[in-house]
Amino acid sequence: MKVQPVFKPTTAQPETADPLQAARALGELLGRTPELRAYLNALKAVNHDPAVRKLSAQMRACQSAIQWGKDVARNAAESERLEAELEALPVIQSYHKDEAAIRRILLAVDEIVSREAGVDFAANAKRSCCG
Amino acid sequence: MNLSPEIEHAARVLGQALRDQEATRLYLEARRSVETDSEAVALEKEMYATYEALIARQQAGEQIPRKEVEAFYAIRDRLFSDPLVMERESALKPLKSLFLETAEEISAPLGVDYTNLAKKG
Repeated sequence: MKVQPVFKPTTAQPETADPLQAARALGELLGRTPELRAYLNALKAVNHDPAVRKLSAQMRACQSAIQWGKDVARNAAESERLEAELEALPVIQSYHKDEAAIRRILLAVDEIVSREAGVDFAANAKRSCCG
Repeated sequence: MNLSPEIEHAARVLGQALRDQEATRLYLEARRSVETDSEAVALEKEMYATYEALIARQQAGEQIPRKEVEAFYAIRDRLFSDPLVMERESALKPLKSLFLETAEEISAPLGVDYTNLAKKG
């Protein structure tokens, strides 16, 4: 039987740290999780998949046609059909599964950071859209 | 969700470090001041309730009468001219800058946008 190493924080209470250093340390730990690695691999697979590229290009063409008011109803229906085809691809389904797994981790992390900080973290860390 | 003890600890350390920053302390203080002002609390509640109701009707395809839109803006202007609310909103700006910079430090080693993946909904 293998004894698992026990993680021992140096103090019972979290020590005060520089937030940027603490953030980088957290990022490095998260970056080593199998869920993040799986997500990045899935993302790469999606970006390099020929079927995804083809369907995405066709969808962009439909969207562009819609924007120019060209055969709107037909292009909207075609865009919807292409999207359904894209979503059914195994590479996309696998991507969604891996994305959900890493999101669960990051949501749990964000809950802890927010609780300790006393303010919602990710919600307030967004770049403003209005300058 | 079960996080590893290392990640859980690192998240706590980060949260604590953020709470110890002046920007967070000032914001929390300003937020508490608003929370003690029952008139401001009621007005804010009314503003969000009105906003959500108008958005729901608009999304359902209704053209909102100008009078109702103006009534909403009047509530909003009254709320945001309250000195305590103004102080809170002004304290929110440096807090957001701090949080944004901090989130970018998490994202760098991840190679993906932490904020985008950690958002609810």
